[in-house]
Amino acid sequence: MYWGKYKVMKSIEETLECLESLHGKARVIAGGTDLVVQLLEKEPENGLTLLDISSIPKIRGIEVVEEGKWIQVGAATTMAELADSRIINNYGRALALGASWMGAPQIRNVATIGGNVVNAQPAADGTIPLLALEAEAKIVSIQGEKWKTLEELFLDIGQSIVNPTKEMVTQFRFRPTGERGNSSLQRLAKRKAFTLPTLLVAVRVALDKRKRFFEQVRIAAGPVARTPWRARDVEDSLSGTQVTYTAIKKAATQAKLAAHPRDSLRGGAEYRRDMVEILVKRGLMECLNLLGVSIHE
Amino acid sequence: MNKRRIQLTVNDLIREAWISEDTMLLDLIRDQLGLTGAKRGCGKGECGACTVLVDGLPIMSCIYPAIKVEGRSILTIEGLGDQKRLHPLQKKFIERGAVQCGFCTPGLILSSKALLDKNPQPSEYEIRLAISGNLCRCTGYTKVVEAIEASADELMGKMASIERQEPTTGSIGRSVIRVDGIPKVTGKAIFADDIYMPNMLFTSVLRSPHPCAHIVSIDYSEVKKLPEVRAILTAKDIPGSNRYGVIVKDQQYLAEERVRFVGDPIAVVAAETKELARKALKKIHVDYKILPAVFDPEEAMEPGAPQVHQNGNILHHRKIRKGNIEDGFDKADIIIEKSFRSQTAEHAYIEPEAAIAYMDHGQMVVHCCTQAPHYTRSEIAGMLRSPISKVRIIQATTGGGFGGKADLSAQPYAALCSYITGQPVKYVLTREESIFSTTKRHAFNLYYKFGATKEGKLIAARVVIIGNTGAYASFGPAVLTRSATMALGPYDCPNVHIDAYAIYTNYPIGGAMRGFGAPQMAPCHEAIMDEIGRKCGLSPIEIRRRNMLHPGSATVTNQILEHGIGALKTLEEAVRLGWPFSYEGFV
Amino acid sequence: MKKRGWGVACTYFGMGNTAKPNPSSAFVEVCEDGSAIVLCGVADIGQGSDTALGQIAAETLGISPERVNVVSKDTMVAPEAGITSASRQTYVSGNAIRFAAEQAKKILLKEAAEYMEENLIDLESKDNRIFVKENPGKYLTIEEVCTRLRKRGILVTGTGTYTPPTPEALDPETGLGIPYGAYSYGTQIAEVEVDTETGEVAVLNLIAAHDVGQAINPMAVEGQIEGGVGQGVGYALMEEMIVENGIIQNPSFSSYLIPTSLDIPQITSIIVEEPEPTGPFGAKGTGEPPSCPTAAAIINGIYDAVGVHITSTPVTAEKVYKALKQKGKEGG
Repeated sequence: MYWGKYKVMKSIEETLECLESLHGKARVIAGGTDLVVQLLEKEPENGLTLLDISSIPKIRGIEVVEEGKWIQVGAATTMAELADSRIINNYGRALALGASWMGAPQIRNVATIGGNVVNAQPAADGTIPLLALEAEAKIVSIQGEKWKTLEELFLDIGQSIVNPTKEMVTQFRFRPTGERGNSSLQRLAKRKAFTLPTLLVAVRVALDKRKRFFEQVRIAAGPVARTPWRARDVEDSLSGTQVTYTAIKKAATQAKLAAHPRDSLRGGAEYRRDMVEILVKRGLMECLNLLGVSIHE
Repeated sequence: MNKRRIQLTVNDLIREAWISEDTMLLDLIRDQLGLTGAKRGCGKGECGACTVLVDGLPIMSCIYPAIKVEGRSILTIEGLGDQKRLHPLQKKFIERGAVQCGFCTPGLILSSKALLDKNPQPSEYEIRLAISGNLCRCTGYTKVVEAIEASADELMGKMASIERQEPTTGSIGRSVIRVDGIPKVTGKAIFADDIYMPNMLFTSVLRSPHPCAHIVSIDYSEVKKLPEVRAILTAKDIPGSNRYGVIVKDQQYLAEERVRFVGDPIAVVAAETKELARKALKKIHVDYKILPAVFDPEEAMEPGAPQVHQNGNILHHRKIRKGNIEDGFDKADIIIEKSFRSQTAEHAYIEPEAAIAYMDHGQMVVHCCTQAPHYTRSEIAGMLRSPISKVRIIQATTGGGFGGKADLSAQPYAALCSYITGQPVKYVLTREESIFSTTKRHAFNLYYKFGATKEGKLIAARVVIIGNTGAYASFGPAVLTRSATMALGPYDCPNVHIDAYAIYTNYPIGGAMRGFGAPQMAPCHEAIMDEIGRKCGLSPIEIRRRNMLHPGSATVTNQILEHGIGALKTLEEAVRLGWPFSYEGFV
Repeated sequence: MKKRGWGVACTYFGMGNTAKPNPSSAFVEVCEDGSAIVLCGVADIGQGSDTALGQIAAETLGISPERVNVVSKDTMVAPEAGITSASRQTYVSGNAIRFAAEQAKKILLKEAAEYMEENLIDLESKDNRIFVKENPGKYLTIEEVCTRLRKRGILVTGTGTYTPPTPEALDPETGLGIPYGAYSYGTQIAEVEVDTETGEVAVLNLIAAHDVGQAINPMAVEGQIEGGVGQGVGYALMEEMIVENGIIQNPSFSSYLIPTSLDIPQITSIIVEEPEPTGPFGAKGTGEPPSCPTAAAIINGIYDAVGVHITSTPVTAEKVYKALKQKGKEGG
């Protein structure tokens, strides 16, 4: 048996109670598109109970809350729902793009943003955009709930601080990209669909009122480290600088030098590093184009 | 494990099923409900052959726990339409030639249906996006896209016409609808894994994890104790011959003393369920003495290299010597040398190998996917020491072959277990097993030297082809022989010197794969032709026109070609439709 | 920046096993209503041989293809037809079936000639009728002929066998000889677009013209061309078995990548017909040739676009990128 029991949960409370009463022998599952494959490949775990949270209504859905302060996304929202959502396309574009490219249509109909993030892969199509959007995750356990920034979640490849036998992520939230902001996602992969990325770069940009200076820039990329990566130094250098091609080029090169990807089946380390520069440059250019700022190479 | 009962709507009917906690939706549909249209191509949600609609959305049923569908509604291909009433998608798939082997077809059609339900007038891009999770290895997707476009038109009430100008009488030159189209689009075509028989057992094969080793001992005493295991067999249990192979019989069904590649079979188990058969493998303990292995064919050709088989590592050497090569290069104004390395490729048919074997009135019957039913029959007869006339091979609908399903794969293990146990036995390879153990397209190391006159006419060609034929012969000698005859491409050359080698290594087996050497070599000789053209100031079209084989040409083997040489015509036609630069050379 | 290029590649391909006999055999039975059963052990693996071979039998006998039933899957019933490979089935089994059908047809024609009091050579069989060539109004339906034959105790069957004419084996030292009875030819043109910053290659257009002698079933021939090209694109750009120390590192569909619907453009297939005199109705095979020149055309297109030679397949973005970088260093 791949697992012992499979239960469909109807509420967060039910889930927390089950987790508590089963003392670490149960864990949360959402769409299962990652987890089921992992469990099929491992030694069977007869004692494991899976708690399916994918149909709990409260943790599914996208809304604008607190009068536009946050975009809130239920952890069990599917990637297809994110890709099609007008709210996400307008205010969290990089996330809509990532969700639309992830896997295949059949996978997107089932895979959830929560599962994507908790799976803790350094180049997850949901995680990288959320990181650039400076998203936060709400983690709920029987002890209570807490909000954590996305960056705080990741410890290593496949390891997050979320212990699925004790707690669950219920929501994500991020600030909508406002009038002077936008976000983009660049994806490099070995074929045009249905494949893990060789490199993913998400960029979020906010400009000043006259669209002449970078007010705030956020750049996330993967896989260039064991966890999803933010190019913090680059972000700092760009903040406050004038929007010019030179500045963009400089930032892109800086990002490349800061990134340390490794060799893998999906791409060599040197190539990936060089591509960080290209994709950061393209990501910044795309955001500016969307904001109506024309920059020439 | 206790089974639980769930209720769900399947194709508009309320159905009940008994499932385990970890049953996947695909198994519920196939094993319980008998709806075998949805297929297992990989078992990991990576190919789309298992696609069904849950509440109208396409999902991968092979990784979808069945419990999730309790109370919900699913649509399988069988529910879309049947022979008496086909859905427009099913009709158009057949009419437009979008169905070939049929294995990916049900999943493809369902993904298309979900698209058209949501977006009745999709663009070509939207169609391709919607089916991007359904891998197809046969069609190249062109006719699939056309079929979906035509269905969209029909569903919108538009008249869709097929503009083919074909004869209206007689049978030749007519795009007659394929005879097996309807079963394939309605999910009724029977592939080997779709056959279920009472008292059926399942096999699993223990394969070597080492590329080269001596088998010291095999201990399966623990397996023999398992009640649900009906047979555990090694080489000594084979009643007849343990040697097989399409050209050279250098392969063993079950290794006697030596394993030569990762995946080489050693023992086979027959048990009551697939899972038990696989679990039992873990209880077989094999003591290996690891031996030095060789993987690179050029290394394997050197003296002192580990010998894969007794007679040395050069399985086959085909020579072609036409004309006078030194003379030819002497007369050449232009000489181009080029090395090229082509990769090992995999057939990647969406249907993994499968066979079901049973005894019928003293005859062994094997129902399997195959490209070579009579060849299979001979080998099985030899293995079981039966007259060939008493072995019956039935080719099930086969989900693609491309050269990879001519060799034996699942058949001998199913047959052997059935022979020993007396029960029907099914063996379906997992995708990993299929990739590990079955043949591949040879990787070639190519060394080319072409000489041409300043008018761009080929005058000399020296080619060395080193093919990594892997651990066993399979089609190796034939691939390298054909490669030698095709090594230049379709060009006239009076002086030719070719050496083609099939080299044994402890690498996965090189066998037959579509093109048989030609795909590997074309990138090299075609690049050289362009380069010769550039050096002479001739376009890529002109350089080919000047050298193309024509009536009266002698091939590399000095065969004089007389009729049926459409080479220049194909160049002309391709250029007419596809070459953007002006070219007047055909006038 | 994206640059476009066009590449052309040509191929030729011998039909059947190289310089070795590879025979096929067939039985034909014409039933009393003029429909026919063809027994021939050709494995149809999706390419459509059951259909096309039925058409060949139908044409030979002069009946409509819907009235022919090709039985191919059971070795107990269908005689040997070799392996479905080497692009040989239409050519070799097609001929075997044609010969078997000719034998059966002779019985029909002889009976018709006797009854209509005409010479054998003046009769033709087509569209379920046997009629006088010069006077088609004078005819018998095939069903009528079969009924008459039955009354006389004559059953209509035929057998046929064929192996390609390769009278000269390849000399072991010189390799010279006649390895194939027929050859198929093809030309493909690929339009590619190279992203000069990432090295990514996209195939925008693919035109494939293949000489098949005579297309028995044009739609099926196009299917083979398009399928072969699709595999060629995969072989050119993304397929690679990665083996380390004899162990395959990528034994799954997620790591051994074959093209999805977004990786291949609409393919333009052009059927060229240069009749093959030794083939059934001029036909020869088409299974393999379309998969042969595709990668070559793409690689030549890449050179046209960005001036780099890639000397190994698959041509990954990384390889193109490295080649471009190298070219840049050399000031090319």
